[in-house]
Amino acid sequence: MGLSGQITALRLDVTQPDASPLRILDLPHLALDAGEVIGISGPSGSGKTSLLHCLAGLMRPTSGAILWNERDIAALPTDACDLWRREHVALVFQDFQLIPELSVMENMALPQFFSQWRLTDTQKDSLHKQGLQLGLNNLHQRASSLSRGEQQRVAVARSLWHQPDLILADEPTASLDRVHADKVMQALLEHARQHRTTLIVASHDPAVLGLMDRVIGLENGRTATGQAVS
Amino acid sequence: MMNPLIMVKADYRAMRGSAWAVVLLVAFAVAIGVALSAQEKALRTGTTRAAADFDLVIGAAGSATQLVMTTVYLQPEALPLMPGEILKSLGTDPRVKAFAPIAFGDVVRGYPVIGTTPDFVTRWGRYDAPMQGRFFSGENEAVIGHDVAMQLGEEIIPAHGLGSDNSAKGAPSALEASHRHETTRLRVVGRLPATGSPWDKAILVPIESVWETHGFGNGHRQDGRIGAPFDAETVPPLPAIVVKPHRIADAYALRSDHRKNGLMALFPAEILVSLYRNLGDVRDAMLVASILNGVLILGAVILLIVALFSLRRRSYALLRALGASALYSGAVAWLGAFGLIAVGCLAGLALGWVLTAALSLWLSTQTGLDLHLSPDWTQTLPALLLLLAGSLFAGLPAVMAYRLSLHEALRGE
Repeated sequence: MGLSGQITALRLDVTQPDASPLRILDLPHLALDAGEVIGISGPSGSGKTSLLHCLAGLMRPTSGAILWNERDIAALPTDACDLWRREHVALVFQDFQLIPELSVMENMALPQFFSQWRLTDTQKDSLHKQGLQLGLNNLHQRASSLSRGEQQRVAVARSLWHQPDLILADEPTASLDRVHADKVMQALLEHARQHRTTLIVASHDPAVLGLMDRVIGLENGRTATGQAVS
Repeated sequence: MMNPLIMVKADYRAMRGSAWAVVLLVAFAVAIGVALSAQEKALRTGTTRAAADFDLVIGAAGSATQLVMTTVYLQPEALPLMPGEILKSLGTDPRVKAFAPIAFGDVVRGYPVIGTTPDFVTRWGRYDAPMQGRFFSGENEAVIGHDVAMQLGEEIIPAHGLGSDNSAKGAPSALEASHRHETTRLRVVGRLPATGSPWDKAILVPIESVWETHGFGNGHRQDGRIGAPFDAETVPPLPAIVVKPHRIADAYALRSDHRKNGLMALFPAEILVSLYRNLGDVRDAMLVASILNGVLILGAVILLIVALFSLRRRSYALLRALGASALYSGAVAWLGAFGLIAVGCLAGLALGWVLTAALSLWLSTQTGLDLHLSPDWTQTLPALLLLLAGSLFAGLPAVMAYRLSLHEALRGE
């Protein structure tokens, strides 16, 4: 198995930095292979979002290491970590995190503008195809005018279009009806399989978790069993 | 090449009302600075230009400022009279190139009637001909200033000027009609070129006409003559004389010689220098007030920008989460803040000019001075300073964007 997309969290420990230290994540070991599809389950406040943010380098663990192809992401300087995330990671946020004042297309292609002045015609075609796959027909309307379900699909479309090595999806179907939830999960899984993308999905939805290769249960920031997961 | 403008555009859309508030705050601060600076300069230039033909002014001892204000700027005020015999001595003084007695007091439709000589009407020979018609050549003729609303050939009857009459210039007044010198009839024979001074709204007549109207004779042995020499046995008294000396040394000597025996001689520039000094003091005070105003506005703008950034911190965190470099998120934050300040500065310059133009127009109608405005880079200085300070402080949100805790900002904490 190739190294691309292989991520390992070693002794991941995150403590809330305030007067009353509260351990919010305490994982002894978590190893994922490239192309693996993992579900993370657990009640609200169990640390699912914190784990995803740690794996994406958005949050630095108090101690421990996050290895991406043997490179410790947690130890990277901020700029290098931002660059790594841009090259390898896509995030689907629980609350979508779209820019309401931009169009659907601009939201989907936003990371492209970090290095490019305008989109090429080929890119626009490809964005339309990606949108259609998730039932988004009009990419020119403002994100603010979309329903919650449509906004969630835009957030998923944004993560897929950039063809990352690692997709971290936080409750990607929470605002969707069953039909659209199935569509979104199908698109995520298809993408993961076609591109050997590692997919980590945090969800409460048993139907979603049932589609995963394996599921890690979290409780109070620890794996439900308290054991290392590999 | 990265495109931060797409996010700047989104930021502006999101904070429309607040963005306008920043632009307006900056615009008003700049406009006030520009208006003060431009107005002060226009006033200085206008008053200097208006005094150009008044080398030395002689009058009866009294208020020097009043002598200049009345003679040069035609501010109506009764001046003490000096004996007319001084005209005889000036007529034979080798240091004097030309001189012109000036007499005030009468009005026609609110326009002051000024008695003087042909020498002064031609502005010491600078005008070969008036703009329309011809110069006066007899006691019953008048030439009008550039802005006097009268027709050539019109017959006018002067009236005693009345300080209480507030009628607009050019408008007939019942009060004026009741004080007319009905025996004096003057015909308008010419219109003078513009001087950019209150004299553009005056009616110039031979001084002999004024004297005759008031029963003083005409200052000549021979009837019908106008202008120097004034050779009558008794020359009528008069309020002011404008003298054009041959040389600067002559000017100083004449000034010194005519500062005794109940006389007063001065260069209008002396009064203007004092006026400018006061204006300068006012300008300095205004400048300090303007700088303080700018600092306060800048402080308010910074606070507003920081507050706006706080409202948009989630967007900046998202950019970083999607992999934007610190340069990109910093550029978005900096351009957003700088753009507002820059637009405010440009709008302030435009507003300042409009404000200055309106103020100049109003002051011109009040004083008769041509407060001509010319573009001057120094007037853009307050805007440039604010822009420079703004460009530095616009870095604040950029630094804040870089130091964001992404995890907390994305969770809205």
